[in-house]
Amino acid sequence: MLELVREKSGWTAGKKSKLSRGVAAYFCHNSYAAHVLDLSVKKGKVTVEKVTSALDCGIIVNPLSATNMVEGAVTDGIGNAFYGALTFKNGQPEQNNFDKYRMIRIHEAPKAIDVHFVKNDIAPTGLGEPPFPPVFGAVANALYKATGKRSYHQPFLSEEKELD
Amino acid sequence: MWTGEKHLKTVNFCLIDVSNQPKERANFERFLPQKQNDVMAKFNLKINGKTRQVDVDPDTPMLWVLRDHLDLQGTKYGCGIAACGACTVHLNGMAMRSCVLPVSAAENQEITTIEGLSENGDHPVQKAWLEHDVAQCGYCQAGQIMSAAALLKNIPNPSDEDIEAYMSGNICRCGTYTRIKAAVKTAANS
Repeated sequence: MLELVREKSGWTAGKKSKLSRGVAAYFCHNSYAAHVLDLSVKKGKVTVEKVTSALDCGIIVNPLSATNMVEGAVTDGIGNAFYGALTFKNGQPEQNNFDKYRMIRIHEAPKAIDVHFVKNDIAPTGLGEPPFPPVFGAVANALYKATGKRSYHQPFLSEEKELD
Repeated sequence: MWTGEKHLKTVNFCLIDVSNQPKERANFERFLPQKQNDVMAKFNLKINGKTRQVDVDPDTPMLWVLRDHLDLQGTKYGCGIAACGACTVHLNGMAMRSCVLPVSAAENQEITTIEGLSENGDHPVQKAWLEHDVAQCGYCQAGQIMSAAALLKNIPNPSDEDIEAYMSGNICRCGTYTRIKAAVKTAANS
């Protein structure tokens, strides 16, 4: 799977790219998932230019839906990694509606998402969740490449904390 | 005349008469309707080309008139504060968040919901949505489609920036944004 994402994302050629690149891989629900994420930082504004994803989840029953779900996991994962602050006070969430909880919106979504599946004859395994968690790792690694700072605590960006 | 007196008389299980005890009365009053009278009024609404009459409180948001009184449940409730776009309808062709539009402000104006966007679900935006297989859970999609249809009415050939600016009021937790953008472009070219 990592070999597939390396090949499809042009990992070796990408080293010369001006974009900041991050990779992460994950295993859960008996499936493997990995992303290579390219982002650019201009005047403190972070834009995700491209995400290349690879998944090994057995036989793909519905390729259209499967691709859509991976795209969704990538988009929502980026939103969560960048903005998804959720804090509690006296046992209650402080962000109780969309005026306080910042969800990713269409202008913040990645410009392109390229999804690939490892072809094999294994019975289908998880598809909805496995591509979600590695997005955080790929975002954090790409941010490290761009800024030289490690991001350990989500959300990585906020209104108060803009990038240098 | 005390606001709650009428209600108090009808409450069978009220064992203690609190009408002459100000502190208890105030406590009791908290649980009663806030208004002096329930003001209901008849409104003539033009929805999806038909005239419909409803008898509701003038403050009722259009969303609940559509869903609860007119049985048009294609329009969805998301946040109630115009922050998510799930309840988007057209008011005289403009995209409006129906959760913050009081019914009294919408009288005699043309309202279009997702049910009335096209007769057979063949509006260019709806066809493009099917072609790109945009929806996942689908909850936000009625609002997304209504916003997209209003965008194309204003800007027939939108750029990426136009789409992003116009559609940024609609959020989608399934993360279908890349497909929404592609589908809006397909609809614009058809």
